[in-house]
Amino acid sequence: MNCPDFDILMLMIDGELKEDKLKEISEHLKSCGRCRNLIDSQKILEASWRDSFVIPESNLFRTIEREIFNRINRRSRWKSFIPAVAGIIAVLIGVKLIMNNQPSLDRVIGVSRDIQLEYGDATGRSVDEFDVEAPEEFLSVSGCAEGSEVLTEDAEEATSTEFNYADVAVDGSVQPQCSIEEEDTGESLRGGIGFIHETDWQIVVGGTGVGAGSGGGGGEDIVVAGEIALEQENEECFAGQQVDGIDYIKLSMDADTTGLETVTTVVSAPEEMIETCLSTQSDTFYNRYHEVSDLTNEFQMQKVYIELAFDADGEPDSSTALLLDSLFIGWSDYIPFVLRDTVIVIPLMDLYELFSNESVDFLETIE
Amino acid sequence: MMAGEDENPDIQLLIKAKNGDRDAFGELFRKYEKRVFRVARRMCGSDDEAWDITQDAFIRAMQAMDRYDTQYRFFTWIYRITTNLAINYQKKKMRRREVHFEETYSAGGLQVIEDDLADRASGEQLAGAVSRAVDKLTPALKAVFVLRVDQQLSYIEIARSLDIAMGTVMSRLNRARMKIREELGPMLGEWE
Repeated sequence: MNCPDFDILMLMIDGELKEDKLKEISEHLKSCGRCRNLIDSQKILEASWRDSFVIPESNLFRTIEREIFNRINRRSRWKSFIPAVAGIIAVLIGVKLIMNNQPSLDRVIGVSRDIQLEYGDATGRSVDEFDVEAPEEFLSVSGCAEGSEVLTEDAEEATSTEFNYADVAVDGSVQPQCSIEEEDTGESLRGGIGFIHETDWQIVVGGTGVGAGSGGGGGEDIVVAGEIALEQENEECFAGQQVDGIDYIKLSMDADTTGLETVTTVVSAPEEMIETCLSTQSDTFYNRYHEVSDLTNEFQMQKVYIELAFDADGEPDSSTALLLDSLFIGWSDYIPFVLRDTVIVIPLMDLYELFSNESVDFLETIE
Repeated sequence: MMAGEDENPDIQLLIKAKNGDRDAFGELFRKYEKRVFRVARRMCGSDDEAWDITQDAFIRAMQAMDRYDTQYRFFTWIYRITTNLAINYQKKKMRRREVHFEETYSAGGLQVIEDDLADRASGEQLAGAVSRAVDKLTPALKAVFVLRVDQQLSYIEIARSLDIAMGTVMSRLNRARMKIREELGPMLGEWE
């Protein structure tokens, strides 16, 4: 018998070889010193590595145990307050929404426009600086225009944060979204929230942005296949579609930011737009995109997801602040109190329902 | 009550811990603390990182208890969380410090081999050399190697822990072992 392949011998070491094969290999080993040596060496090197591990002293584990328990307990207490506080918020601010009857697309777009008008200079620029030529049918202004990025003095940081996010401008093209990194705090401020009015697709960009880099996590491997390729390890889905004569592609990525499961995030958009994204963005571009569009369905509010992010001090990220401050007066007094260190991805409709005191299982949406 | 709850004592501890039962949490933590720390430490580069990952893994396990499929044993789930956290952590670190990483470990590896030619591997030297070789593996290969060799999980347990197919476990493990042997090179001379 010829010498078995390396992987077969390893299966034997691992006790994963089937019985008949095991007999065969055992027979071979009786007469083959080379294979015996290989197995012995593998066993020795693995055992030496395994046995070399030094477990830290147990008091360190006890310290960590206490810390974890305290943190879990703290979170549990916050969560128990959420329904009550949400109710208070609804009472305080729900009137504003209820008076507007059912939220409509126009309402959302109007609000997003207001956000931009009101907060367009949130990153230190005025709305007038946006170089946007919007067709009339598009009502919202979103993101900052090409050329308006602000660089930090730290060249290395600037490279990584300059174009962390893209946004969808009013003409449907994708523009790099401004990102300014505070020199002192390292906090990254980003532009607004993009609501795009079209009947068959829309993208909401919610940057986490609570401190530079905090929005990263998984999703670092952008997975793009087909003819568009970036620096990535894996390849994923590429689905060509056509809706109303426009070619769409679907990008998918592994956004396992939680460590709990693989979350596939899908962006569906006109091909040209995604090409623009890919040609201008770093691989963190898709970190926080969520599936918002099903190309086979008509526009549905339920499919627009908003990401609300608060850091450990209850400070919202810039996009969250823009959204909440505009839509829900009074939020800042309450929400950070209960939602610190939390990221919520919530359907926009649910958010509305929540604040208009309708039945929504709010806790279900908390990650 | 979740499916499989009766057969899985850990889920009871998990529920109690989530509801603030200090003893239940302590029991659960002590049952898995060393294993989780070990995997984290094997996967990443320092004790500090391993402590962070250990802490994070248990917190996330509590937070996302509802997603735990109780038909599988708890350790496969906590392993999955731990390895994913470590992989994410490592990827970030490698991207940030690619050059530094390469320089450090390449130099270390050569030195070990040279040393070893003069003095055939003692157990300690061999373990050190293997550690450096393991550090050079990609996170995906490393995770499989750690779970198999350090934690001595079966292939099916590794597949469940990492949520990958059995075939993938086998191919990754094989690649990991071959790469390690390549790295060790002369040290394995008499066994080749």
